[in-house]
Amino acid sequence: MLKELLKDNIIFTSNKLSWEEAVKVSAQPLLEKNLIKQSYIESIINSVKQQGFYIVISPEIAFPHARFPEGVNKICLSLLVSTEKIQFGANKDIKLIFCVGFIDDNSHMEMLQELATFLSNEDNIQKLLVAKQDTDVLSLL
Amino acid sequence: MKIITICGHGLGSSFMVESIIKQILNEEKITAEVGHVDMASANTVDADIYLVGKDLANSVSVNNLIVLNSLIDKTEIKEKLLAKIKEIK
Repeated sequence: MLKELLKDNIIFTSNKLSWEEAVKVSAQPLLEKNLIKQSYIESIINSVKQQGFYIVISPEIAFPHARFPEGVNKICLSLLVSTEKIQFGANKDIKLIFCVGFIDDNSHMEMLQELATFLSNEDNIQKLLVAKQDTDVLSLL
Repeated sequence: MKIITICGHGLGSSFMVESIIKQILNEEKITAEVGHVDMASANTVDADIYLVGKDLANSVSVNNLIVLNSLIDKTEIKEKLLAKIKEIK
């Protein structure tokens, strides 16, 4: 399921980005495919401003998402791989950004379970950090 | 025993931690109920152990709270969880 969702939704950057820019860039492919609306990206950014950096899940990984169903048309996932470190609050080393759209309470459970299993293997994270093209990521899944 | 994971909205990050905890409990042959909740409701849900990421740790006040540096580091979660289980037994 991860592979299907991520296909065509992986982006690479070597620009120096702020956390807000990084969230926007990571969401761009989802926006272009009309899987999410602009309002969803704004709602992620506003939630973080209100609640703190709940979207950071490990020293290198952020997981932007907001409460459904504000602006999500279909369950979706994208990945931004940055060669530059991005600062998310106190977290200064973020390089992988998984942007997720949820449509309800349950339909994303399978995806998250797969993502948790995948990311709990440190080898996979190390490989993602040096990925240069889509196939470097998709071949891990 | 009941274990609850906490995150901002109670639907994304906390569920990832929950699924990693389930793997650990399974491997360690420990029986426990595991669930997840958003941070605003954390106080209203009774549990023996709670887990939260460090970025939200200051917003949560519950007993037996484990603060995680990473929500996906199985080694860290396992170490802290097993220690806490031992402590409260």
